[in-house]
Amino acid sequence: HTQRPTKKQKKQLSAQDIQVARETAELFKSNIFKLQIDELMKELRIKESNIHKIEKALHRLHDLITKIPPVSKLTLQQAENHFNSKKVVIPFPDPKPTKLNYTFSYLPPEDVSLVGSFGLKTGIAQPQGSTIDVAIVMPRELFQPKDYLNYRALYKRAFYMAYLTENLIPLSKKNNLPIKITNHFLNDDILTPVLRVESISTDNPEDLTFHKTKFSINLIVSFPFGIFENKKLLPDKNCIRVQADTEDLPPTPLYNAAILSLTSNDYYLKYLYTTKKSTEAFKDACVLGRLWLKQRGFGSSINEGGFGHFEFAILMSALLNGGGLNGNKILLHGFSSYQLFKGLIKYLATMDLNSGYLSFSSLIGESSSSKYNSDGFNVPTIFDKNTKLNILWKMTQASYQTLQEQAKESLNLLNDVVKDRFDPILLQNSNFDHMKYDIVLNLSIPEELNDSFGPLEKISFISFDNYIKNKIYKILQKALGDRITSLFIKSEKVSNYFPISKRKPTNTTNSYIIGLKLNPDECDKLVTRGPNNDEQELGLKFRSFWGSKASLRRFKVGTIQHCVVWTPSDNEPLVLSIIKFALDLHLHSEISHHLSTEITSFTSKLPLPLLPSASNQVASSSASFTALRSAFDNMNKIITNLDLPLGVKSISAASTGLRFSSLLQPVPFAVSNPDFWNEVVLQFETSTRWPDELSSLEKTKTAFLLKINELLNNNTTYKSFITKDDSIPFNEDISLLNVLTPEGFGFKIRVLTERDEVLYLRAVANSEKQKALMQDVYLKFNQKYIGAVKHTRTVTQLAHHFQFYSSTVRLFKLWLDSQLLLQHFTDELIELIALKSFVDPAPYSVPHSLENGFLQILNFVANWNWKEESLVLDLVKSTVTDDDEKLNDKLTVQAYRVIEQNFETIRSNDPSGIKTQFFVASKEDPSGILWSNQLALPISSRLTALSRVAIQLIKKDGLSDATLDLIFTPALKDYDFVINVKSANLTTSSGVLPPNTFKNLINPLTSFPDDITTKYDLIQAYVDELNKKFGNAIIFSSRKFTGISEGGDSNYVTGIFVPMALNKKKFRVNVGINTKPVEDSTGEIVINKEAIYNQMTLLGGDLVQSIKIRK
Amino acid sequence: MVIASEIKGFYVLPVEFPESSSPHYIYFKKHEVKGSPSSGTSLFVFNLPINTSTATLKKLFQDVSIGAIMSSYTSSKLTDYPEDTWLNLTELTSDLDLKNGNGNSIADDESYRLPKNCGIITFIDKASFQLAFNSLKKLSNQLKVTKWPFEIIDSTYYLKKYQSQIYNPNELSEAVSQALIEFDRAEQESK
Repeated sequence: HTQRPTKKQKKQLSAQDIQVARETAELFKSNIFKLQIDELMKELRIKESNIHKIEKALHRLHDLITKIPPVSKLTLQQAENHFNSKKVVIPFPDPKPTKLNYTFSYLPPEDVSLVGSFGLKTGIAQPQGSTIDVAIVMPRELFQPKDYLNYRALYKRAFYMAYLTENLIPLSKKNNLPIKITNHFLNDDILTPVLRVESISTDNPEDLTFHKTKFSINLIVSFPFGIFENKKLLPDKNCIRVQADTEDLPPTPLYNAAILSLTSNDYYLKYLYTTKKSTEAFKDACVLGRLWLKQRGFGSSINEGGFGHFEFAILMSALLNGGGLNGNKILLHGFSSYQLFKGLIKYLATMDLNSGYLSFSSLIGESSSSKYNSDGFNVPTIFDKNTKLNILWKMTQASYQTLQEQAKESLNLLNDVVKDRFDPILLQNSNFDHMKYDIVLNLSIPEELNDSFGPLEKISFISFDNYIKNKIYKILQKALGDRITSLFIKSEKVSNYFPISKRKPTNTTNSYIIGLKLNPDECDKLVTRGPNNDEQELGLKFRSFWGSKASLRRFKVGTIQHCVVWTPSDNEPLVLSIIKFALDLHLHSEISHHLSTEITSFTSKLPLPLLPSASNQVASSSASFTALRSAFDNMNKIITNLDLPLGVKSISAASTGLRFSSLLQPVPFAVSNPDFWNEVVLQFETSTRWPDELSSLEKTKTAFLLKINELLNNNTTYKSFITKDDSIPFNEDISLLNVLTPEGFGFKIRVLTERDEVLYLRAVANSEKQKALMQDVYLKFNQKYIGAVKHTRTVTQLAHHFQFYSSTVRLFKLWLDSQLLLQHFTDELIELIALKSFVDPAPYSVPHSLENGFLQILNFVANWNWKEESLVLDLVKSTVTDDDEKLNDKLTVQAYRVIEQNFETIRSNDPSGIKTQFFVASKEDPSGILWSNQLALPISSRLTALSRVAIQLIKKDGLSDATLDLIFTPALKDYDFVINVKSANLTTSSGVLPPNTFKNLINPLTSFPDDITTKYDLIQAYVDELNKKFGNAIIFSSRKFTGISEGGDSNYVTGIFVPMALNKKKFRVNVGINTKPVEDSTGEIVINKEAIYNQMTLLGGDLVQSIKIRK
Repeated sequence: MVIASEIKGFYVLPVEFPESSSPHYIYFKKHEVKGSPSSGTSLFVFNLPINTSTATLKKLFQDVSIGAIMSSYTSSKLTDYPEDTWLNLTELTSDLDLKNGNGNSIADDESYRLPKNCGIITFIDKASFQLAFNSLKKLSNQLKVTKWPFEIIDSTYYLKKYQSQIYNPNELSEAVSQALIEFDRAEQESK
């Protein structure tokens, strides 16, 4: 508990103080970061021996290339005939040339040089291996000035490549460099096939092999720098002339950029090398950038967003020479790698390179400053005035938007002065689509759509891939507008490699993955609003886009607007309906049949509530929770107004149902729901007359409850009774008032007085040898009477703010229950763990769908190394760092330190987590153990193991109904024994619509049963008995929600023996477990498993069907 | 392969349950407390099977030693409790000497101090005790498996458990006022 500064103290803090404090924190963080970076760099360094070996191979390869004989002036026909088409085919780009008035030649290359990160020495060790780029520059004499037009240079290049390949194969064999050569498209650009050289392992010791280094070599046949007039290849120029009806041919930016790139491969290496020389930390910063991009799935390839290490390095170079609005320098040469990295991320996050652009000059030696221009081209642009190349030519608006969003989130993390954020920024991979996006769609494009890819589209977009992605993007962006914050489309490409005996890949895919991030405020709005009626032109456009769906509506404020009104569907998000409609209308009339998603499978896992208003019942709706809440408010009023000897000060909610997180939706009269009874905590007005002894204090509370009980039963429509409560160990005198409201809900009232805590703490102080045990009792009291109230308040607020929290946490609970784990955890602990993905989702972002939320939680649990990491939650609504520290109630550095120290203390006493596994703290509970105190190590480990298996399964097999079902199936074979129990059918009485039934055939519940206890789940009572009798030797697991289990009337109670209980023991009367004398021994006893199995079965009576014991 | 019939001064009594294939073992000895009136009439029994009640024991002695008449059975409060030791919250929070319904001091209640699965069986007199003790000893020495009179459970057992959680308001009211009167008395006394 940190003390709030008083008003006076607040005033004394000057802006300057805050600034100093901030800078200190920043510096401290920067230092920590630096240590972490140094550590990382060591790990990422490529092995010296590998570099040595690969350099040797590169030299030999270079020698071989110089040995290739020239060939001159072949006609197209001759050129094609030159090759044995079974072995080598010229990789001509589309359209393949048919008749040409120029010839093909091969002359020794003008230059062969290393380019890319290996040349720059910013390469990193990667488990899957790395590629070294080598530019082979064609000699100038092979070109004519006009060759930049109409693929001419590319055709010549294709021949050059094929010729090079054809000669390298025999040469390499002769010279003991066994290699395999394949074609592939550099960065997914179909205009730029390059050769990939891989080493083949042989038995011959003479051979120079490098396959063990996992390196491969890209041979990039390039054009000489400046060979063409660069300004003719500006992004707005047309360089492919085709016959068309229009006068003006559209520009060919992708083609132009591909040509320019090929002329400047080696030039850019020199440019970056110059920067590296002038900026000490440049190299390390580039490595950080590379890692940052890789963890987020970004790369230079078109399909990876078109922003990779190269683009990052160029941008950093440009920002070292300016980059601000007035050309002011964004980065300084003396910056540390952390500062360079952060500066660049900040630039990406805050400057718009789509609506504006950055211009710089790569001319070496000239200190022309880079400048940001706010008037841009609505294309992601970093323009090099020297080469006329747009460095971001492979990016799309969609990929740029995604990059910018990632940068924004990382910037927030970099600005976090409270927590160390190194891991989510650089070490955690966040490239799993289903956690990155709220909705992930798979779209297969029918072949007919190829027809729409005409000559003009072809020269603009070069590939069908680019064209269709752009088209889908435009349609969806327009259709969804504000409903989404991010939209990314990529092809589900297998590989773009093809053999040298093929001109191009044959097995291209036509499947696309569309990822959407939703805007929670807009995504479910039922009306898409268009322009006002009087705006004719806009109205026309609106109508033409929406077709028959568009209508005119008068709104409350009196305006008449064009709009589209949507009807929500049971199980699919509105956004999905809109997507289907828009794609059907504008892409292909039946395309929605080719669209698939798993989003609905997640929703349909949640049980549907048995409620009368059947049509608007959605599994993720919160209406039923609101009904419960208002019943609670009504009861409060009634009780507060009762005539009691002591006035009621407050009645506070403390139940899952009242905080939107009960597994089942609260349904009236559903008494079998294990969460039917909502606990609430009642406090009377202050009194000095409470007895100063715990048992009598409880009796006095009971006296008050008896009074309320009498008044409620006699004077109101409420029904009530008093039950014994055993939630606090050793306190046998607690009683609760159970209230049944006329609305059909149930509340259990527990009384808290100002004496309780004093007495429990006194007991702790007096408890001597039993201190640890008594502390656990105090914690239990704190949970039930104080913690639960605070927790309910916080979760209620956050559940309102994070729209998908409620359904996500409920699904998480369902998963835990399906794995027989739920009853081992306090609801509060589960809810806090689930909140992690909402208040602190890094490296992902706040989930706005059930699927995304659920998977993020699972992923977090799977990766949480709780032995070494605490979970500290800042339970506030905003994840954005608010500059005005007085206004936000985020955790302070000090509070965070206190919590971390608590964790360190716990771990220093319990390093392997035998007593405390999960440390989950927040401002409300700095102790970190309030809700996780009584967990057992095997249970915590099992949660980790099961979530790991689930995540691995999803990553390996992908998401489908089958995988999802598997994830929700309990793994029973791990237990020592499994008792098969028979339970009554409690589905409808739990308020759940039975699966596979018609809603209209099942009547909702309308009244309480005469004896409420007849609708309780007896299995729970059985498990309770088992725990009481054998709980010190066996950990029992079972479902908490038998009413919704898939197996119908069949359920399981499983057990594992606590390892300690299995050891032979010396005979003593307080051993506590069922034993037998050890055979042939005196004075030793051992657990009597057979007798335990026997008695467990007898204890179950007719509830037990069978018991299966693991051999 | 021999199972000892005696272990650390306790006799071992194998018993069996309906439908069981292997026995359960109960350990017992003479219960002697110096200066206690019940000395010489009680058995200390350990590792009792689940749900052992006075009725179960009476049935047992009827079967194995007719004529041995029990007077009382004190079972450990912890036997059906998840914890291994008992904490007396009254003692820990107050110095008052509160009495329970039988007029005994709450702090002295033996059932709270017995370890899990233990019990004390007291017989009406020494003769009864000796009869029972001898019969059991004989069974133990012979390693004879005795049938345990287990009361068969069905699901109504659990239903009753639920129902027993609900207090009768009149009885509760009575108990509460008795307890509060007792508290006032103890408080007065301590002044």
